Amino acid sequence: MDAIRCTDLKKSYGGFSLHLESFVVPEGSIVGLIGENGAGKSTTIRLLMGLASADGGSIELFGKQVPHANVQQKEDIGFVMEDAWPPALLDPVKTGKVMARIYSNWDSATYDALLESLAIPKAKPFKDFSHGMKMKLVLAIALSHRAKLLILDEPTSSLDPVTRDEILSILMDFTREENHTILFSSHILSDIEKVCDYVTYLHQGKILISGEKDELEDRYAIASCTPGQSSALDSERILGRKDSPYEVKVLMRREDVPAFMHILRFDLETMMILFAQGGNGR
Amino acid sequence: MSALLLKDWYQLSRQSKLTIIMAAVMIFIGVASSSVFYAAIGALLCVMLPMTSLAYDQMHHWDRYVMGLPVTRKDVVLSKYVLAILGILASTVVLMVFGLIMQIRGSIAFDTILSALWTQLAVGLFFLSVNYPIVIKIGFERGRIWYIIITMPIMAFAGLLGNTIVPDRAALAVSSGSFFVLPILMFLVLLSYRLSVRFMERKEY
Repeated sequence: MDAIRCTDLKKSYGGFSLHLESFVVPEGSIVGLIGENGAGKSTTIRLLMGLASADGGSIELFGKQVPHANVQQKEDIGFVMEDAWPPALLDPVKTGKVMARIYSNWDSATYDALLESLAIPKAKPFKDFSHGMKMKLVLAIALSHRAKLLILDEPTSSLDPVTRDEILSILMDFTREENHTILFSSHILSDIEKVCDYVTYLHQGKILISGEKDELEDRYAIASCTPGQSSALDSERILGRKDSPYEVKVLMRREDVPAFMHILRFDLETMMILFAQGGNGR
Repeated sequence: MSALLLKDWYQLSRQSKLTIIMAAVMIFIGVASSSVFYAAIGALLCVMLPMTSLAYDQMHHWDRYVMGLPVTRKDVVLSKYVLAILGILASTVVLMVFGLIMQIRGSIAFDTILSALWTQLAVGLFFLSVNYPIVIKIGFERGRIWYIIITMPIMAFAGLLGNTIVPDRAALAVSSGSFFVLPILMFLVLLSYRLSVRFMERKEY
């Protein structure tokens, strides 16, 4: 079963348009949603969580078709969203008491253990927390009501490497349970590479690439040649290209790479940059 | 909904100690000086408490966060109306206690207490009915100007009632009119709630 399945999902506002023909998050997987700023990652998450209504298309959560997550389904979803925070004046203990009345599956013992292990100050109001600490508390809440699905919008952005690593470890722990699923949006691609099984790349509101992370490496290649050699390239086969005075870097399907090109190490960041530059072969 | 009320209670107990004290002082002055004007200010402060909680929610992005929690949008609106009505009732109780003390001491007429009670109830419910849908629809920041435009005439009216009409007659007028005013105000609150729910259900975050 898929944890999330979006079909022909559409949303337009203020000159931006999102259209996801088919977007799937398989149960038990960690899916990375990547793309430049304004590509539609947060809009997708807002639609899934019911913060905005779709103009068309359908969303299935845990196999049930809904316009967006409803109260019953939100019991099973832990989340981190952009500019969405727990009560600013409440300390984590009081926040826990509020959450215990909100989530029917609230697990106080897990919450307390997470506050301890993440060294979250219990008596300090949320507004006085650092950004990293705020993120840790939001994650502690997301992990304390026996959620099956985590929907995380930029959970590691603007965090220092140590806190990021700590948060990624928590996420890896979460997926030890077979049916636990994570949708993880980020533009920190090293984080996505560390934890995700699948990657979906959004560009200008549409899915450009989607698939298993390892499969992407088998399917696509990043290759380079000199500017002189580049005239021999078939432009129809170039998916993305970046020219510099001494080197031409291209993204191509692996089988299309000519023998004279030098194949470089594949990484999501370079792939994204090259795709964003454009190419005739898309 | 009890979770949302608990959250607001925790929030207000940290955020609004000064406002609560000010409201109590205003109500006390109102009763002591037989002025419905001060009683109305006290009532307004009580209704403003949940309003500041709404503003705080929006300012610190709880309004977005709560949308991800397993609560309905209707519950979010209902909790704010319940909180506001509890604020008005709390101010009514405080006013009644002060009024009774004053009457036992013989320093105030029963009609004046009644007048102050009705005034603060009417002002509170009217303020709630008009302002909440606006704040929910356009947000506290943008709604502030409306907040001032609506609040000032109410205050001026209360002042006029308290200062230019002979107190006993004012008391009589308000208390005899209350049988009609109260159902109208309750209808207004209900209408306002329905409107707020509608705004909230259409709102995008």
